[in-house]
Amino acid sequence: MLISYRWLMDYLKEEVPVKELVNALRNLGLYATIQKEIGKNWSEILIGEIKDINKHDKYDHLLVCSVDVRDKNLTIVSGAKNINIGDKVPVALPNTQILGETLDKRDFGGVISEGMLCSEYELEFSDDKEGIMILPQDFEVGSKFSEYFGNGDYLIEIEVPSNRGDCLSYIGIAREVSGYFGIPLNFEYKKPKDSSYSIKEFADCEVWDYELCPRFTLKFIKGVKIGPSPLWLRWKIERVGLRSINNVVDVTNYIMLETGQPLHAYDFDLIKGGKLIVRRAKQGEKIVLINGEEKELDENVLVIADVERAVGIGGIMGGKETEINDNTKNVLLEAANFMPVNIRRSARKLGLRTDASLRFERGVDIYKTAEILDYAAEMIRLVAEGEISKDKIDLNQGLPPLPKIFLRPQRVNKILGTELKEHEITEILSKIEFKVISHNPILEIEIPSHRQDIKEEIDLIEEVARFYGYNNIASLPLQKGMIVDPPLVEEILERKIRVLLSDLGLYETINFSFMSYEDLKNSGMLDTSPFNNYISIQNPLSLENSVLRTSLLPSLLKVAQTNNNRQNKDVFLFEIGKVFYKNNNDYIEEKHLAILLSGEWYTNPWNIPYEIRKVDFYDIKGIIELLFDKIWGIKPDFLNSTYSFLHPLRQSNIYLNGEIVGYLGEVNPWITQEMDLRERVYFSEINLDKLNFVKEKAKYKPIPIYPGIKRDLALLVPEDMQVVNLENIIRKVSGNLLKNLSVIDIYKGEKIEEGYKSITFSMFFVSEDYTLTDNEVDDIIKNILLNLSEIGVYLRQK
Amino acid sequence: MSEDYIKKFEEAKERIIRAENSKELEEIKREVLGKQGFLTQLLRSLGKLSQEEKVRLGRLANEWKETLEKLYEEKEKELKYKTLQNKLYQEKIDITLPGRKKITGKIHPINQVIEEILSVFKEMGFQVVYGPELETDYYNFTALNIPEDHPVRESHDSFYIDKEHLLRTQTSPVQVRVMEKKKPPLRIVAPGKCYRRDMPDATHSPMFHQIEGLAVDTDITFAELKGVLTIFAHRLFGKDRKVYFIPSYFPFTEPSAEMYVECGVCKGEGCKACGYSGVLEILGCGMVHPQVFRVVNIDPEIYSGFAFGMGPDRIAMQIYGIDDIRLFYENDVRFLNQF
Repeated sequence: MLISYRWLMDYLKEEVPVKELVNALRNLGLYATIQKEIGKNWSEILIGEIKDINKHDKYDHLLVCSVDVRDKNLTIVSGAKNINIGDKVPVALPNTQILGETLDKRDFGGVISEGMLCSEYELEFSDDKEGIMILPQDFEVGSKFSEYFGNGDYLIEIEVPSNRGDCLSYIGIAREVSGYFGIPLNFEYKKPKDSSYSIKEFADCEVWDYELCPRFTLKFIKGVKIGPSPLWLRWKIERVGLRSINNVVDVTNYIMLETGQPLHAYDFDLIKGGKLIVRRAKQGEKIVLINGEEKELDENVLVIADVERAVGIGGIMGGKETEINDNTKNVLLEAANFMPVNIRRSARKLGLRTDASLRFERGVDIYKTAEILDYAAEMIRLVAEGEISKDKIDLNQGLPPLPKIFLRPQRVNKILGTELKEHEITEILSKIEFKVISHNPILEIEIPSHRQDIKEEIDLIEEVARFYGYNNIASLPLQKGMIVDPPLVEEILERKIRVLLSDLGLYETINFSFMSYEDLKNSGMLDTSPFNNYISIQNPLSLENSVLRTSLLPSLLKVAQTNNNRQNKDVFLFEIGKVFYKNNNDYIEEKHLAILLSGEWYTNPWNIPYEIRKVDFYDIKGIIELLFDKIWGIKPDFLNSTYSFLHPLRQSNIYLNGEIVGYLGEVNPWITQEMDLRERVYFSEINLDKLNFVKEKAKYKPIPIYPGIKRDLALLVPEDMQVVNLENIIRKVSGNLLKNLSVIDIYKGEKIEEGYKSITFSMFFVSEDYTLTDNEVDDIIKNILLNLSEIGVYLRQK
Repeated sequence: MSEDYIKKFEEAKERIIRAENSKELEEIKREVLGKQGFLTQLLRSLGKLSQEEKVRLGRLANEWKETLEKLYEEKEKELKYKTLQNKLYQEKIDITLPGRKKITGKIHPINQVIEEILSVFKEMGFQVVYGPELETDYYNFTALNIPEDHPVRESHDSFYIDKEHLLRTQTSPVQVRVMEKKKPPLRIVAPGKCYRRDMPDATHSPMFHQIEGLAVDTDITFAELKGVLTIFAHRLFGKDRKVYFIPSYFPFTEPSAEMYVECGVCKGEGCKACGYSGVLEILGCGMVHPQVFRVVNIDPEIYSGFAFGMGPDRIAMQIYGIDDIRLFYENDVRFLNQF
């Protein structure tokens, strides 16, 4: 809520400096920020009277005025069209700061202007740029502008928490400030000067739905004179951003800002049958509102109607057809109370958020409705004349007694960690109008009617804390000892994986959990379950973000694309994130790890052989093997897979104990080419939920003390045979003695028979119990060759 | 005769010392210490001499031999060293050429900040826990004292999956899930992604992160909430930074507060970095509302607790001076590489 500092100060018996005010509001939880300081120059602006106006000799659009500012007559050139001889106007003299610029004497075609006549905008008085500000005739020539309007003002934006409807008003805010500083409030509702007639002579009213409208009050003001608002009124409402309409409407807005009670004024003579009915709208009923919009209503919307039609949406906005206009003579003034939830729903549904609906949503004080109605009627009389009915219509089903809540002083201290005495607590509460009914043995507190947010003991404890001051409460470390809960496996895994992969040269990315259907399609995953069992968002921000991701691949491909488009084709990425998909009627949420490699990953490859500069399948496989070894201490199995979004011959599922825990491979170049990715892309995705364990603690094994024997074996292998077949045989035949088996060379070419390749293994044999002999190892090798020959693998003859 | 040998010995010494390369040295060795060498000759000639002479000259010859052999070894080492040195001087490299290394790799800046934040709380005995991102309306709102039609729901514009399910708008539902399963004492922190239907701009992202914290025990007070979070703020931002708690409103805590830290750039004077307020909003917190305890069957008369929630994205923006939240989710490697 935007407030004027000067206006707020009207409600306090003593002025509080603006900085202290802002600080106090913050300490109370009404976060305040000075938005703008205005009128710093008002003490330098003089009130002048226009004595003479002549056309400029050279320029048709300029006027040369003679302006009396008491000490002297100034010659001032102005382009204004709204000034007349005798008008009182604000005059700025040279060297005055106007909107941040210093005013100079200026030469207009030979006429020196000795000052400037100011518009309201130039004085930061309002946004009105049209014409010069014309002041009331009783303003004294030569006096200062600030004598009438104060020494400038501050506009303060206050963030009012959603439970504090009472603070959507000057009085509400002033009440808090009053309690904070102990300065009394300076306000009372004016009583109306009544006439002798009764409202019932003219108007009638019925409430058909007290649930949605628990209180509805009306007052009649006869013979008003509609016109522009007096300056003080216009000044107040325009400063905080409202538009001045006319004197009657402006009063209703003024009182809403002041008290938080929205009001509505009807032109009584336009109400058919002289009767208002508060009822639910008929299905499809239409109304044109004062903002000119036509709305179609339904039965859940509460309307104020006359005998024929709706004339307003209760608590939200009045209707066009009965609004106050220049010809209005008789005003029917409404102050009511509406059910917050219904207002919120209706306002939302109709797309109408108004100052009134905001206040009714947050709760308006139902006990004050009639008092404020009287006050508003009197204010209308003061600015628009007319006669106020001696009575009012006040329809309600009885007001409940004010709630009373028990408060245990020791409970206050138990929650806050304070040592407040009972009398300190009651003093704090009574400063903000909470009444202590009894205090033996515990306090019974009566809640003031404007504090609808106070519902139970803890709410009172918060009030005590707020006004005692959060910053006065001690700051203590946890008083209880430690809780020894071991870290969760999930946390350990995430952290370790992040450290490992980033140390290996990969960049961690974080991507949105949503994507588009197109992303899924472009990633070639539409025909693969579960990737195509995606979940849609009902109300996405855009189609681009309308589907929850079922795989991390589309996101990482997009990151690769983004970087490619920015001249970086070398991308080495990983991400840990959730994927979501449907399984029958369930929603599945899984934590996945994905790795994407593409391009060259040596930063200065000057001494790196060309053939290994670009990553390939074996780089990503190496990372996966390393990851499984370091994180889980296991070797997974890699078995053929058939994902259509991967290269048909360069992909594999990752198995653990016979279960698929992930996959890896080259992303099908058909997909990456479509995305303009220049390099081949390698990708792996792992379901971390299936790997929710940590590496077992290692068991020490003695380091072998006997020397081992190393043998290399060059084999001729049929071209299509996978190495895993050879390894299995070699390991099986060698048994425990084989401590290390690695592929050290693969060769195809001239010296090798057509249809074969040469694979060289290096083997290292060690016994833990004795020194191996060459003969023993020779026997093993012979045995290996014998077994290999059965699958068509032979020793390579040089 | 012996003078002749003395001369030869001196000559041999001289030759070894002067040898210029290992080939020459080997030759000298052969000539001096070999079968044709004078020492061998000397020893051979001893037979004709008297016993006394035999002993004397034999001893002398052996002394000479040892001396020469020692000299030879020293010389040999010296020459080997020289040879290696010469070789090394052929092996010049350009030490300004870059080393052989792969691309650097980094942990995402938000996760670096989350990790740093979590570590402070872990030291204070908080356990890191997680919860689902696809949540039910019940856990995300109702159980947190935010019933349907509560005004707070408006600031949590949610992505709905169906009537019941939505993407969580906060990490607070983890509080409820933990308290349903475990009884106090509890100290948890729950990091994770959250989602709100905000159009992306420099300060809003439809996906962002939160870290939720909760401590429940008998007799936990607001004073301890202030203490724990002040320690946290001092650890993350530095001990010299002032910390402020001001009242706020959250339906699931009461009393509620917002914690601000003095702006590190202007030290409270007000500057562009802090929007001229002199302070930075770090987190929301408060004492767990009795209603939340009732929902999970914890007796609020016996137990009390505090909860807090913070946005690591914003904190990371402040720590690193990043002015656009969208950079985090764009994943330009040039950005990621800076942290």
